Amino acid sequence: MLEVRDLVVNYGEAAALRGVSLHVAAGTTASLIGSNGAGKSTLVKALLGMQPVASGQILLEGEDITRRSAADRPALGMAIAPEGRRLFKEMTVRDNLRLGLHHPAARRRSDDGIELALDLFPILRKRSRQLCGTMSGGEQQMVALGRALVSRPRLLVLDEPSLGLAPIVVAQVFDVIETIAAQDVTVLLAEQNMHRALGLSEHGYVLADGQIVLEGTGEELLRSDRVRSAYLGEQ
Amino acid sequence: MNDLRDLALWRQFAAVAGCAVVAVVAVPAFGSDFVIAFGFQFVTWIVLALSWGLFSGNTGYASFGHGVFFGIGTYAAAAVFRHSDAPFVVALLVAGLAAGALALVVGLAVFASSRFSGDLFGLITLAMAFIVVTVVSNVAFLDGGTGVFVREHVVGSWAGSSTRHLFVIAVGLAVLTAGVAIATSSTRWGAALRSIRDDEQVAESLGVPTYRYKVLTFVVSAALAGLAGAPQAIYLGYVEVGAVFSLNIPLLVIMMTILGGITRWWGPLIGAASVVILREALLDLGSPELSQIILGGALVVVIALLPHGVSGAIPRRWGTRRRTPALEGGAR
Repeated sequence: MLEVRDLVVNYGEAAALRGVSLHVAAGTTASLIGSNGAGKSTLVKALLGMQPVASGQILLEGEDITRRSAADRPALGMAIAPEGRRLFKEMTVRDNLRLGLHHPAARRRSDDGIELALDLFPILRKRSRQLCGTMSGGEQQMVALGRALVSRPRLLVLDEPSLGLAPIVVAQVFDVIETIAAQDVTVLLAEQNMHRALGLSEHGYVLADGQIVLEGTGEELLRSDRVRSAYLGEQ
Repeated sequence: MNDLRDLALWRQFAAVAGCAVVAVVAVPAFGSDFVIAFGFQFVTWIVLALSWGLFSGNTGYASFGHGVFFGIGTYAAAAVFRHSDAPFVVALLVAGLAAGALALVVGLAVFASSRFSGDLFGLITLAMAFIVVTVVSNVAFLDGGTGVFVREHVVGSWAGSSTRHLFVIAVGLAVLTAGVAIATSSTRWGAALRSIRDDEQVAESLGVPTYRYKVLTFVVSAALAGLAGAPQAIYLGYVEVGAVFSLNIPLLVIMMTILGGITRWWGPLIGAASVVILREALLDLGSPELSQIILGGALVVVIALLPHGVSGAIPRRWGTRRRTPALEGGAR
């Protein structure tokens, strides 16, 4: 489904990604884990066309989309729930969800997308006229996930969905991600909460200093001493 | 974010059209020459404030060049009258097209780079004003530094015979501008513009072609201001660079919009009414300087007390739920 080959991204003189390669098979969930500043968000932005790529390739079902604009991504079946939610806080829940269907191709693919999101997050149905900026962090995350899902994407990219949320809300968010993943949606999950992320992933990649330093199945990485000592702080 | 099939949207269109019909019938019939002239200026300011809000209010790209588009429209119409016997409607169209064409050239160039967002965009529009003023002053076809007497070219024509007619034309333009503002308030187009203001990068990732939307809306906003320049040319009678391209025009327009607020499409309309009436009332003081100080002070007070303008302080009738009044925005 998604293949990244030797991706290099620079911020001015500084290299943010240094030859990253990964592969996410269709219908599976892959995690991208790593500490703060490892390059996870940069990789996500590059995948979504929000960050210029210096070299390398991004292939979606074999098609090279490296130079396609960010606005083209929904037409290709890609959607993102960005880090920090980044909702349009001055708009209502419903208007945020509708913007997830702004692209004509997204509307053609999913004319009942809003209902899909509201069924998945019943609380949003009650709050559909509420301004997003007035909602709690957990509720906002539901809207962000809903906005990404309304277009029925083939590839869903989630960037730090648990960031800044209370533990009980984090558990709810991961339950929802598990539900989504079970519906044959390909999911790429960039996350610091490695236990939860690797726990629901078929495959995982460990990113450090702009490079993939380790990869394997979710279970393998959870058992890996290197991962546990480096990222989970366990001896 | 409804669409054009929404009944509420058409009710707003109908309300605007109804008010316009009343104004067109009542003001020329019962108003004195002073009232009609005041009404003309008032409605022209409404067109300028609404058209500024259409682009800058919705997208957050604050333009200081709106007066240039108005001025280009004024000069384009004056040039048509001066160099041809074309009817007013031709001058009107040329005025709108000239302003729209300038905005198209500027928009295509400026919006191509994300570096020119925010404050830099404002500075660029300001620089555009200086360039245009210099060009107009030095091109004999338009002005050449002498100014243009418009009245002598439109004597006997319908639009040139009476301020009443200019008032009717201005009301027509205000209805057109309000119609566009209403359309952007509740449609996918408007939501896309507001998403640009809130988070352009995320808007793009959701499939909003931000470049295309910015260019298109900038052109429409400028063309509407340009159209308002055509009756203004006749109203002024004598068109000269200093008055037509005065920096006071865009500053007053921005002030009107801030006062009225951008959270609803009619905010700039309220702002225009407030500023025009306040300015007129302050004329009795006999001191333009004191009037300016009071006007500026009023703006500071409104910003301090009503950060989202007058329209932002009025509760919504239909329950858009809001827990914290500080989080507002977006014309609707």
